Amino acid sequence: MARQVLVIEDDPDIGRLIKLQLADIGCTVKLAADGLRGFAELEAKPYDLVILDLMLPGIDGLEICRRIRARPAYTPILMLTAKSGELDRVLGLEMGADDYVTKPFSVLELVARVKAIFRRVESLANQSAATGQVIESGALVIDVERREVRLDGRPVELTATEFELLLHFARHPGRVFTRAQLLDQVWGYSHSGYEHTVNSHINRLRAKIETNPNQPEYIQTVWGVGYKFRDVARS
Amino acid sequence: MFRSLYGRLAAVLMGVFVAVGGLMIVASQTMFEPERLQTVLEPNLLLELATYLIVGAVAFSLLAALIVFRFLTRRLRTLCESIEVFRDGGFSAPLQLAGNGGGDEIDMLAAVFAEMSERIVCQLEALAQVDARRRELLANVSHDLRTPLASMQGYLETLLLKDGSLTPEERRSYLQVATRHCERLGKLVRDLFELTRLEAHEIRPQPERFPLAELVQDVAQKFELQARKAGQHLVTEIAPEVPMVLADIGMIERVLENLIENAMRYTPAEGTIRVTLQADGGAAVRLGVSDTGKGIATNELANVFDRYYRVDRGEPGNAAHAGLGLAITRRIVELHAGTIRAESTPGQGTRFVVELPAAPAVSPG
Repeated sequence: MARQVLVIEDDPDIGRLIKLQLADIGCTVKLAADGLRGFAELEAKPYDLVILDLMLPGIDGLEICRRIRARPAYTPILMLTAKSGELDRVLGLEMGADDYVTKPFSVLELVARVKAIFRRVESLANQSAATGQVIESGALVIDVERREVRLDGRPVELTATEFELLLHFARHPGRVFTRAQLLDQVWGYSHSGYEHTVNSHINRLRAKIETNPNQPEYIQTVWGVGYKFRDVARS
Repeated sequence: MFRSLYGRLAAVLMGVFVAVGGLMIVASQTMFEPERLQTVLEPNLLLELATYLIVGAVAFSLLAALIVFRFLTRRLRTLCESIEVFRDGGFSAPLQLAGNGGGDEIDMLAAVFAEMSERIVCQLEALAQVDARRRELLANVSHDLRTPLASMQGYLETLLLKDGSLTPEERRSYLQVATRHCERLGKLVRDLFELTRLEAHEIRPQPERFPLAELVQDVAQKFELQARKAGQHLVTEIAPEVPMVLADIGMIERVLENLIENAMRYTPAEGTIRVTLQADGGAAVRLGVSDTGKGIATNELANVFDRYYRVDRGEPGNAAHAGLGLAITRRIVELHAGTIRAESTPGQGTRFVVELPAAPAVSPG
C-alpha cells in the first residue's frame, strides 16, 4: 500500500518538486500551503510522514510540530527549512521532529532521509514485537526488550541513540564497521555532513561503559578501517 | 610650583607687587629727605607725587598683565593653528606639536590633542582598509555568484529553447552542467554564511574530549575513494600515544576536510597527500596536511588564510574554488586556542600545520 505523505510548504515549486520525487518511491503526496490547512488535513486522515517547512505564513512550523506531537497518534516529521543555524536544528529536533533538512537541499538527500525515516519506523515496530533478548559481554549486560544496560550490575544511563549504537555493535561482535556504515545502519543517513555525529556518540558511549576510555575494552578502534565490538571468542 | 601655569602666574604677580612696593619705598624716601620736606608739605606737590606713583603702578601692572596674557595666548594660538592644519589636511596626518617640555596644562592639552589625532588617523586608515577589503570581497563574491548562475541560466534556457532538436545525451549533459554549477553556488553560499557567523562569534564550539587520531582516520577514509579516482595517494601517518583533545568534533572535522580538500585540489595525478598526527610535547597535538603540488611563493604564504585570497598556482580547477575554506579553517582553529601555519617549498609542495592544545589528563575509571 502506498505511504501517505503530507507536505506543508508554502512555496508551490518546492512542494511540487517533493511530490514529484516522493511519487517515484511509491508515496501518495498531499500538499498544504499553510500550517492551518496542513493541520486540518492531518486531523482528517492518518499520514505516514509529514514534511514540514519551518517558515510558514500564519502559524510557523515549530508550532505545527508542537501540535502534531500533542496528538496521541505518532506521526514522523521531517523539518524542511531555509534556516541553517545550529539553534534551529536543535529546536526543530527537540520539538520532536524526526529529522531536519536545510534548503537548498539535494532531492537525492531528501529522498534518502524520507526512506531512512520509514526504515526506522519499521524497525521500531519490529523491535517492539520481538521477544526479550539479553546480550552479555564481560561485565556489560544489555537487556534489549527493556532497553536497559548494566555494567558490573550497575545501571548505565544511555540516550536512545547511544543505546541503538551499542546494540548494533553488540549484535555483531568482532565485525568492523566504518563510520559511514554506522551512520547508515544506526542513524539511517547515507549522506555526508553528519559523520562526526558517529565519533561524538562513540566517544560518549565509551565515557559511560569503558573503565578507561583511552584504552577501550568494548568499542575498539581498528586502525585504518573503523570500529568493532570486542570479540569474546577471539580475545 | 613653577611647572604649572597657575604657579607661574602667581610668581609673575608676586614680582609685580614686589616691584610696585619697591617703587613706593623709593618714592617715599625721596619725599622725606629734609631739604625736600619743606616743599613736600606743600599740598599740590604731594598730590602730584601720589598721582605719579598710582599711574606708574597701574602702567607697570598693565604691562605685566599684557606680557602674561601674551605668554598664555601664544601657545594656545599655536595649538589652534595646528588643529586647523590637521582639519584642513583631511585628518590624514597626525598633529606635530612641540611642547616646551615644562609639562603644564597647555602641554598636557597639546599631548592629548596629538594622541587623539594619531588615533583618528589610525582609525581612518583602518576604516579605509576595511572598506577596500569589503569592496574587493563584494566584487569577488559577486563574480563567484554570477558565474555559476550565468552557466545555470544559460544551459537551462538552451534546454527550453532547443528542446526538440537536442539528443538525449546533449540534454543530459546540459542538465549535468547546470546541476554542477548549482552545487557550486550552494557551497559558496554555505561557506559565506559559515564564515560570517564564525567571525561574528555566532557559532561557539561545543567541546568534548575525543581522540583526534580516530577522527583523522575517519576523515581520511572519507576522501580515499575521491583521491584514488584522481590518481592521488592519500597517506595517513598517526604516531602512537597521541593525547586526546578537548574540541568541537564537528568543527575539527571541518578543519580536516578543508585541509585535505585543499591539498587534493593542488596535487597532480600520482602526487601524494600526507596527513600526519603526533604529540607535541604532551601539552599539544600537531596535525600536518601536505601536498606535492607546485607550492606557494614565500611572499604569498601569509595571505593564504585571508578570506577570498586565492593563490594562482596554475593548477586546473582552481578558478572554480571560492577561497573561503582556509579562512574558515583558521577561524575554527583560533576558536580552539590553536595555531595554524603554512610552509611551502615552491616546486615541491605545501604543508599546513595545525597545533591544538591537548585535553587535560583525566584519571581512568
